[in-house]
Amino acid sequence: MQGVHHPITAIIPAYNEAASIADTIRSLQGQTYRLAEIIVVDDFSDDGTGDIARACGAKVVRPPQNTGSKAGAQTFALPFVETELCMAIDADTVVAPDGVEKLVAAFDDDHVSAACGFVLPRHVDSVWERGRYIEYMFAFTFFKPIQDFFERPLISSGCFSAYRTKELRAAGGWSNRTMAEDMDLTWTLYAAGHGVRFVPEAVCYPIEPHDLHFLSKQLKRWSHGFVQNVRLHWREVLHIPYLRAMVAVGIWDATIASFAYLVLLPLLAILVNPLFLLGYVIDLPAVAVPTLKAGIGRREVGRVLASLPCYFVLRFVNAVFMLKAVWAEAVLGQRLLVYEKGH
Amino acid sequence: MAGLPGTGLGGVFYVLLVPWMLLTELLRLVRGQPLRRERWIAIGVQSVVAGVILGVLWVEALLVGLLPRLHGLGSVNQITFSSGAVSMAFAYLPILVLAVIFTSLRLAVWLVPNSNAAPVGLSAGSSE
Repeated sequence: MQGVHHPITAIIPAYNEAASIADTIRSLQGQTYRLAEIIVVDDFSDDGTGDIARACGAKVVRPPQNTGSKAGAQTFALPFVETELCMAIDADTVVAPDGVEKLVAAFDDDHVSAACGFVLPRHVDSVWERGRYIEYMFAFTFFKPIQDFFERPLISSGCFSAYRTKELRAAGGWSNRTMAEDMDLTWTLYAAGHGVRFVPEAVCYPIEPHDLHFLSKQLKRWSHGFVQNVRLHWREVLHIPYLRAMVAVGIWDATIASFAYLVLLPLLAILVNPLFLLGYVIDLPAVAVPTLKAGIGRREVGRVLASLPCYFVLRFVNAVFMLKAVWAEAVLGQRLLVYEKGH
Repeated sequence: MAGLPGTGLGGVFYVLLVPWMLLTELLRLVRGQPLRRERWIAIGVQSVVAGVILGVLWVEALLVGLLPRLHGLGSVNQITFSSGAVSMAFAYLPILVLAVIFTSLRLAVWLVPNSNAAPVGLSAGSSE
């Protein structure tokens, strides 16, 4: 049924987010689609996050002790949700004024249990923010629409996603058994036979790490989270058409391709011919095409062109972290268990 | 996926999925399922993007092949391996690797019991 009203509650997990929480709450209060409630989980902050959120008009809940993770904080809020849909949004993320309206429309399809939107960095200044900008522009313009065509978005992004509350509860909420609770939940929903959709018109803007120190924490979480989820879900994913191929290609890129990128290419360049160094940038035109397409649509062509070189720097760092994560988790059996924020 | 290196097969895989999008939708129509405009728009848009990517890469390959000649160094293939070997390897290796991955997946699906709570199909009515 088209155009049905779906009451929705926002859950914002927050640990020391005093600098950004007000912007997030205000962006939700200014939505074209009225939210039933905004719940901030003040996860034992010591910078006044809870007071700021309360002053902005949000309902603030505080667990008896720090939950230790975003997943823990979000799941703590789940019993307080009384609406058909609930939405998880990071405390450093603002949403385009019609973002919630666009996202909620996906739930007119009864099969859909989760929906995610288009993510772009709020600030695009440092090398890392620019690299992430291109990464998102590429992925959300090319990869994710194709995934969505086959009804298999690889992840319903944790920074801004909506869920059918009943099915989210049945899945146990967000689990802290991996470092990537959004991926864990998405694949759990698929295994239970539910649908996940990508809505490119629903745009959100999280704050991305601006320096290598914070980027490292985030990439460590993401890379370990990917490996942990593959190890946890591989039997289920194997029997989910298209998702199994996407994950398999992801595993190849994370392992073999990263090794070739970091070790093989430089060796070939030294031992055979320096022309092999072209391998680091040979796909620049391929990356440029979808990102420039998106840039034209957003009138950000200059920003795309200025940021493209930064993508290749970030890609190198991604490869390092991914190989380290695979080595630690899969070979040494050293699981990353401590959740560290990325800013 | 953000955070994945993006250094390997991902690009090739998704470019190859674009013609598969068209085939999938044609199969849906043949099976009598209703035409969905938004899906054909998606096919059109991604086909143009994939087509431009391939076109640009083809031009790049021509230019990379010419570059050493312009500097009097011979061709890329003469510098690295026997003629044609480098370009053949770079062109076909990703497709060969994907073929091995897909074959391995089909084998694994057959060998590993399905532990999913519910059968996972597509509302689009097609399979891999």
